[in-house]
Amino acid sequence: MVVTFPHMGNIYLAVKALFDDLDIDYIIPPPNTKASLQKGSFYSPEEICLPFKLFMGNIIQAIESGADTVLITGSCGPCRFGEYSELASIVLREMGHDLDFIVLDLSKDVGVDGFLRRISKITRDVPMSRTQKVRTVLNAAALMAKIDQLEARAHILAGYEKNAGDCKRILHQALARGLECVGSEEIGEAISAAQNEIERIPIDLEKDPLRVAIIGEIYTVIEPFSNLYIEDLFMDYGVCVKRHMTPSWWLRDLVMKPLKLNSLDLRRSSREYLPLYIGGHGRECVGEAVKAWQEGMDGAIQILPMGCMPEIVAKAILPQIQNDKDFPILTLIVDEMTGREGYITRIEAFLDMLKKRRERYRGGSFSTGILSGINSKRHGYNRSVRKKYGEM
Amino acid sequence: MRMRIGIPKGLLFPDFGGLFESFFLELGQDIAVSPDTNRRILDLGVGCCVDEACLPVKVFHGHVCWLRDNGDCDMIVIPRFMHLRENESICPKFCGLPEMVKYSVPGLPPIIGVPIDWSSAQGLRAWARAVASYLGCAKSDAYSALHAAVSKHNEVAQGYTVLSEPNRQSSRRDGLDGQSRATELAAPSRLSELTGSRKLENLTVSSNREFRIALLGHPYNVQDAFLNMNVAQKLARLGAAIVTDASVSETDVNREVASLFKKPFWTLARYSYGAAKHLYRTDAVDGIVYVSSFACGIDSVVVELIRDATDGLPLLVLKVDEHTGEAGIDTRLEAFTDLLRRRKTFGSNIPAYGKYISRGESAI
Repeated sequence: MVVTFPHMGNIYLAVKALFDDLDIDYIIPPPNTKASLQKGSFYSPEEICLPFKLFMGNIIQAIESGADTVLITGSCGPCRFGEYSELASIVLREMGHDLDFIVLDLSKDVGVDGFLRRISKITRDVPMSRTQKVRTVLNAAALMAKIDQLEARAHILAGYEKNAGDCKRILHQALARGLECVGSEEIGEAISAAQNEIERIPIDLEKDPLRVAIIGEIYTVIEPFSNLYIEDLFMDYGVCVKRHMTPSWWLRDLVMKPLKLNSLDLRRSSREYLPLYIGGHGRECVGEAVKAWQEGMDGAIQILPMGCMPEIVAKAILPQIQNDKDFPILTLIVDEMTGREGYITRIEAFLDMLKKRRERYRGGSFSTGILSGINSKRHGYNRSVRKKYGEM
Repeated sequence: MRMRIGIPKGLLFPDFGGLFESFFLELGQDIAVSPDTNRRILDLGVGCCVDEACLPVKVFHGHVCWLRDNGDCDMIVIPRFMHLRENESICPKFCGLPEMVKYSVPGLPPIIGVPIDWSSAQGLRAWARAVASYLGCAKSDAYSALHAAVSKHNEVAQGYTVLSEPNRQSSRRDGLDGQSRATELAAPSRLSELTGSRKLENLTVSSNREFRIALLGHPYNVQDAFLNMNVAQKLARLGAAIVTDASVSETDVNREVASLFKKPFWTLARYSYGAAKHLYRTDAVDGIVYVSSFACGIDSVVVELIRDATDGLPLLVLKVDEHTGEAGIDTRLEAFTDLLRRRKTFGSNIPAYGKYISRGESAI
């Protein structure tokens, strides 16, 4: 049995650590590229969302290298993600591949027993005691959290670094080194080393970088290829980025969900605009937007794959938040046809606008520029900015 | 206080609109219902709805706009269907519909967006209770109004065999199991049996028709004649008898979906898929016309599942959006019926490009 799994951001490192520790054969699909996207969208239904197309690309490439079992997570709707396994197995069968799908699903239908049975399909041949296995899984989860911390730290510090490119370099080196290591311990050490290194880079606290929140559909915000490496772009621009959605957040959310204790902060912040869970991460997106405003960010960028149902609901709500809080939100929709230049132009224009807003609030002048007068008198301005720069 | 409640004639109105109407009338309120979808309503909806939404949702926005402008309403009810069957849902947009409308349509009167859980009697009661408290009516009034509305709903729907709960083979719902309680509040569970087709009924007389076509898709796409440019009429004029998923019983649907790798969790898609597969296996239809709205997330999956389950049966997927031109639809329907006719004459294993697929030799 050779297991493979789709990419989503840096989870491949945590899963690699897990399979290394359990001594299971696995194949990490090649990182997402244009070629894998092309391959994936060729075999996918036309109107399915981008994550599925990339997922298919990963799986097909992994099959070409010899994988025979696919490990994915599942859900029970109403978002399309729940049907991925069904659809993928049909497509792959038509292509002539006979694959074993292991869908990790913690829903009511499957139950805890079903969940454990599915896991045991992979782990039954591993000569370890049950406690050891559980410990290995927890180690991998801890490693994931560590990687997410490093990434978040790099994204913040990139706004303050004296030598441009330090944070980006350290982050990418650490991830590359992690891929060469074996087992959670070694990978963990590589990440820890990078964590120490990044805290020692020269910092300019005089800088006052823009701070932008990345919100939206979980796959497209986490997987850098699908959002055209927006976070790397921001690190180059020296803009601080904050992203609430991480693989470790998802894991925590999943575990706490049966107890109804998941993401209490987002529930609170989204209550005013969307008081119910509508599937996918639509409610989370709304909550993150409000939270970003509360935290005094300059703006937020929503990223979603074309046709994503929950995010469309969120997108209908975000303009209201934008008007109520005077908090700029840009929506970017990605699919396999997204062109890089148009995308970057919009991001740059958005950042320019944020910069102008700051100048305006700081100087207290509404007279210059095309932005003058828009919304400013009617809606007041960002509360946090007001606090930061003093009343005009 | 007597209030005027607006009911938009969009999405699942053909199935549940009657229930809302009689519920609010029983509660002693006035109602205002928007007219059938027309060009103006569509334009109103497209003008204010979020761009990425599908056509039926835009049309629904249009109905709400119409009520705002012409309905003189004190409140508008936006049904928020969370479940039609246990553990299943419709589409995330249904769950967030009141919010979508509220933040997209300016100048609206207050909205009643109480969640409706159609899968259980308790769910319906909770809905009635919440609505009543919103309107300032007594709880007991709400219950009796709901009771009257539901029995009326079942009566009207009798044309297409509404089954009250005790008759259902798959009666698993707690709270509806007992005979007495069930007669007290018989929640019709099988949606498609209601959706059926009062309008389509006269077209389905099959005896003297050339071929039989299954007209499938989400009920709001199939039934709204403006939205789908009257596809049922057009097919009938081309000589087809039309079969909808209403003709397939719940038991058959259950049997067909059981073969899937994973239990489908979209109620409406479940019926489309189950009906398509059943009609295919029983050889009841010559082809399938699937009406789908552009960028429908659910259809992107279900069409693929149907294509897989009905291997070799002609399948025409009609995508509709606000830009769809009628002439294009006509051409495709004509071509499709031509294809069906040719298959009848020349046999089904000769494809248009003139080769036997199975034998690889020329057919001409």
